[in-house]
Amino acid sequence: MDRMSKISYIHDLLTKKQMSCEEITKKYLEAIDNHNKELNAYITVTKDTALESAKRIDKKISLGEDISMIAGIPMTMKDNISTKGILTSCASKMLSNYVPIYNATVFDLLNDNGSILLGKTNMDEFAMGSTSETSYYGATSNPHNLDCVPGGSSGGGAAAVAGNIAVYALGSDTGGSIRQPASFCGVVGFKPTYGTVSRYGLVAFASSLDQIGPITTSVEDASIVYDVISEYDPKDSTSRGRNQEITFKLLKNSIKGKKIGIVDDFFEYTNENIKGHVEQAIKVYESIGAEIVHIKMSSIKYALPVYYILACAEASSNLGRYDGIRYGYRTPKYRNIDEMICKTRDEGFGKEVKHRILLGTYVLSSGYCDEYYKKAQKMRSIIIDDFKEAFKLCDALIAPTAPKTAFTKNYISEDPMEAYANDVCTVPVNIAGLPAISLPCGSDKDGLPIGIQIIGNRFCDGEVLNIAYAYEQETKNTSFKSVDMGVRL
Amino acid sequence: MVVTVEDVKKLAKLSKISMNEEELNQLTEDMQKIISFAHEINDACDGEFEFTDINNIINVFRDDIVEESFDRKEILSGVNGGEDGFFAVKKLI
Amino acid sequence: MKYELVAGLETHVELSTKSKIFCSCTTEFGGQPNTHCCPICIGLPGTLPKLNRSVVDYAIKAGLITNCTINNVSKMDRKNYVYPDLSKAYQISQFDLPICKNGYIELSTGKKVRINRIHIEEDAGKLTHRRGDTLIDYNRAGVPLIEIVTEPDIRSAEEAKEYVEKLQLIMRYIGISDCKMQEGSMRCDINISVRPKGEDKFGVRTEIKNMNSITFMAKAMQYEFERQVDLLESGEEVVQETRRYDDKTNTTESMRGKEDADDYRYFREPDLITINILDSEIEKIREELPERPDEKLSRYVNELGIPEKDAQIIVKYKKISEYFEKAIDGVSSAKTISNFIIGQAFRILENESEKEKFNIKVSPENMRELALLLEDGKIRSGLAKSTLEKMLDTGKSCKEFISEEDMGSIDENTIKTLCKEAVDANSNAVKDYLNGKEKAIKALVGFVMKSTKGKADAIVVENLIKEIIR
Repeated sequence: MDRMSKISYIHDLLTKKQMSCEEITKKYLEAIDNHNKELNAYITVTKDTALESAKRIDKKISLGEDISMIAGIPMTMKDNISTKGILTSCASKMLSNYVPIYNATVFDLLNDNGSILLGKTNMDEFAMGSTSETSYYGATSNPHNLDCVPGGSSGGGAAAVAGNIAVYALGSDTGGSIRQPASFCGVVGFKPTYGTVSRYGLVAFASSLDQIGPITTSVEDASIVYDVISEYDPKDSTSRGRNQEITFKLLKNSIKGKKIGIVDDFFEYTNENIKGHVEQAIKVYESIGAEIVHIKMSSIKYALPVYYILACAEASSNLGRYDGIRYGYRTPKYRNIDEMICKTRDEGFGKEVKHRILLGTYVLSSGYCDEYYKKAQKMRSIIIDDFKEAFKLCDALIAPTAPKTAFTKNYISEDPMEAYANDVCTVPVNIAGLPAISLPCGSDKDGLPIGIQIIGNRFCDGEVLNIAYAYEQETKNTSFKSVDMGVRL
Repeated sequence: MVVTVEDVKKLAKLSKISMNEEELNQLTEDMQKIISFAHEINDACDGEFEFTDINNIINVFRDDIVEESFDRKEILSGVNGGEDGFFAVKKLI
Repeated sequence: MKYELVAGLETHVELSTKSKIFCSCTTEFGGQPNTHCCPICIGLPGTLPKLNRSVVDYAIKAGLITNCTINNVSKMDRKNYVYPDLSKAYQISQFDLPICKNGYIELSTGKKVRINRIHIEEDAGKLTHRRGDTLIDYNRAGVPLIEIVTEPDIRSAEEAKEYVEKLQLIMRYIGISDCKMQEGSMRCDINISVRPKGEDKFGVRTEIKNMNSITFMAKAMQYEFERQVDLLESGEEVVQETRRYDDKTNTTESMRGKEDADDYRYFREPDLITINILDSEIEKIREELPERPDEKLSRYVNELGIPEKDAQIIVKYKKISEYFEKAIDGVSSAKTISNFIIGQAFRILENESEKEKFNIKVSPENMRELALLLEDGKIRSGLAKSTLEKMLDTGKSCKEFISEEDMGSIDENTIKTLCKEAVDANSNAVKDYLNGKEKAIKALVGFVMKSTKGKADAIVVENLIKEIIR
């Protein structure tokens, strides 16, 4: 069950009237009641509206109306996606009282298709982090081992899907925030091509890197959800929508003769155990007719500094608006408006967020902008060109998703660079705006999941899903360690 | 490249974040590490950066059409309705 | 030592598009606070801007009319600073690739004030202070602006004044702004320095922000010039800083020094994409541009024979010149119309703002009808004037006030007969005239005019009488 399409399964249950949407939704709400204490995956649970929506779907079914594949499927969204009337906190004290007055475009699309929103999930504050520990609402736990982190920043969504307290989740990925937690939690995380899913209503961290995508238990589910949310949005000037065809149709295509590239730089910080698993996966691909090619990309080693400079620069600007004036937290004590703003920002933001705002301010400030920000932009364009060249030689790249498996909570590194290095395999993808998916390929000696990453060329989202699906099908009889928790249907 | 506490203080002022000495000191240390790391790319590339759009799209515009604004109650909902229709920062005594 | 003033102007002009620059809220002035707002213009988390096409077109118009080059490739940037009226803590503006560059405006002396650039950006909200509280209204947030930046080519307050007036006039002409300084739809920042006459190097400059009246701007410049000269004369230095003008005391005072100057950390706005303007689009806009005010003035004077002073007045007000152009259609002497407007219509317009609106009750068609009657000799100018006054009062057409009888369907023979009658009946006057009393002829003319109820042409009558007497 774990690596099959849960969405198709529930869709069948609903349309064959074997279970009502209300029954299914109740099961998930109960499971949340039972497990959210230990997982802390949800910041908000929207029980009443979920049940109301479920009843509406049941009515539609009873009237014999056609319903979309995702209609009646209980799901969750990261707490940085704007939901009208529902707290959207970004896991920050700064927005701990912020209730939006408008919906993100993705939420409108899901609603139009009859989704059941169970609630909003935990994350690193303002999506800055890779452990989901910097949340104002406390750390999320990894369902595979409650002492471990689920990864981040979309850790709540990955934990909810892995722990079976949501069928799927929407996360956001700026430097790996969908793929890395998916890999830590043993689920599928898909970061689409920049511009295919509207960012309207996604609280911005780094606008030129952010992208919304699904976290699911199977590649098929990722494809189903992606096909719903990848619509052109006139509200987002950077939006293009997916290339015409729905990816679902491409899933089952043969990958015989496809060229899969390996770039050594992606493996640099990766531990041997993970390397071994990725090599195993490569063998699987060879066995089903893919051709493996080795590719050199000399710019990849600069991806991390480029990422931190650009992401922090944009973040420092995007997070300037939290001043306590129009919404959100405001300090209770101040002498004048300037002090009000400075104290509000000191008290409302956590350490990591302040850290990145200051770093971003530094790289943009006069005297340093040429040295850092502009150089990083230049290097970004070199990395983009290097990927373009790489995709002339192959159809997709294969790489580990993370250099390590999930680490224990409260692991405090003296070196901030060590924490950042965890993103080494994922950030190049965001820099170049590419589609990439993380899918489970086994687990380490402690039973913690390992993920492989398939990276595609721009707008080749369907191809990435197709290649990932082929691996998933080929290995479906190999059982990966699953989590005994949550809803079993 | 050396990052001093004074630099960080200036950045905090520019970012409008008040910070205590302890935070400032720790940040200075961390910033130093990150900045030296970021400096790597400086040596790796030169030449002018030509800006491009990542997805090669140009000219996305909206037409000059007025649509109804939001109800003021909603606009001011983040500040408990505001003050006489305004967002307000009240003087505290 | 003689000093010279050196100034450059940065003028913000609010564009009169219907909707804001990045969202579809109205740009209407006024309105209850925070009623022209939406999640985008109050900067709610997750919202994204979308550029209004008309803003780009308006900026291109402004660039073309001021002789600028239009950049084919342009982009938007973020100017970062935290202030309560700025809902996103950055203003979306243009840094290194503005829409227009390298233009000029020619002053009446023939001197060209060079324009460095014209870029588009968004306006901020409005702060008011009440008993120590700060109140914020974001209705104005996101109203589109262009900023027109000159080179430091201005050498006197008079030149600055003329430059701003010219700018105001041409912006109104191309219909992109109403440029009302009192409502804030046009605001100037002045960069000003002094240097000894003959010196090439610029002195240290100060900036005076947010001038919202041309008169005050000229006064502020004069004050600042004198202040800087005094400093230099007494061996002190001018400090680079931002200053504020106080119209009550007619002085400027320091707002903030250079060390407090903001570091705006400009970078490309990642939420918006490249603006590509094709040459064909620029040409299309160029073709649609109205006649420039200076071209119009010379046409009025040289082709229509309007006295320059009158022509200047008509050109000064866009509405009036539009009215004028409509009214003269088919009239052989445009001067008749300009006389009607400046002689009669102006009497009921009390102030500048009424002249600007030119909201008179007489339609251009009705004014033309009256002018044609006068031109065809059907009525005399006295009657025309009094009739126009009645028309201005009531808005009715001239036919309502001029009866068939009033209209001079008097043929030449009738007039000749009447002239003979006048000569016969006033032998004394004839004698006086023949004895050299030129004025005596007026009595004879008066006789004819009286019996035709003023419909005859006095000059024609006078000539006829003279012929008869000889």
